Amino acid sequence: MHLLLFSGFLGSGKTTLAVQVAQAVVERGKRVAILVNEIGEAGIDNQLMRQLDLNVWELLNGCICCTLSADLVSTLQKLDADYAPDLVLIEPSGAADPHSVLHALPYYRGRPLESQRCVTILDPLRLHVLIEVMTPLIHSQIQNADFILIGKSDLAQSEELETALQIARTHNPFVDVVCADLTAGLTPELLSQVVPWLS
Amino acid sequence: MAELTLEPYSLKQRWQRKSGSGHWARILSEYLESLAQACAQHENSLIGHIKALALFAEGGCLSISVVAPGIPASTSGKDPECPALDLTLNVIVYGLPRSLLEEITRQAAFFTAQKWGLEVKNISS
Repeated sequence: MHLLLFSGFLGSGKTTLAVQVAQAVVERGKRVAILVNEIGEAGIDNQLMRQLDLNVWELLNGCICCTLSADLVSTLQKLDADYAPDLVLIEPSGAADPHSVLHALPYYRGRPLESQRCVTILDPLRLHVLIEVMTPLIHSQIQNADFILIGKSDLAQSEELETALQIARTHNPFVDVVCADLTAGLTPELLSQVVPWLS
Repeated sequence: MAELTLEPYSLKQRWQRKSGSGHWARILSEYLESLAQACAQHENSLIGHIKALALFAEGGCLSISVVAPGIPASTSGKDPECPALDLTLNVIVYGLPRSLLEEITRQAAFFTAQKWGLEVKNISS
């Protein structure tokens, strides 16, 4: 079982990427389970994913990075036992600290994880504001990434993309950073960067 | 900036045409954009995400998302010619109390419905 964690602030494009990746992996004959944890009482992402015939499990009534970290581990174990997915895709809320989510994973006791990857999506239109206001969260989202995607390249000015690249590389110089327009769909290159084991 | 509190506001609404026409994607984008504008007028607020999912009785869905007042709403999914839809809305805005978000949402829904010849009812909140 492979595990893919999507990190990024609210509205950065996590759900868009999660849906595209899940659909692409399913098309290649793999079993995909998506774990969603949203802020707000009304789950929207899980409804959307179910409309698209994806297999979704929702973690309710709390935040996956704090009160629900034990639920995350038990849900992963249940998923492994009952559904045996090839890929588990975790989409925490945009307010979740990926460090805390990753910190919970060693407590998982199911089939060993074949790979574990954290992909962080940054919103270049707002990053300069968010890094001032939500500093520790944004730093953690960047620093814990194995791959960084700067989305909304169709909407952002070149200066905004450059600023986002600089921020990403300053806080995490060790990983690949790519700019993309997710509304145009997932390219094969981007898919292989997000899910390297698939190729 | 001082630490911002977060009191998310969620609700479900039923939108129904009375006399008007217009594409649902445009109407709902305008609704969420006006919500974002109203939220941003309050000092020390930060929009996290205002997003909605419309489910159509005939099947299919339309998702709408806004992250800042100056950025147009993004939409994806179907936009069918149908008379009604059920909308799930999450208003995630830092720095504004839930009661204020509720009032802002009520007003934005009222004005959008009035402009487009629609009826809107809260199903749950």
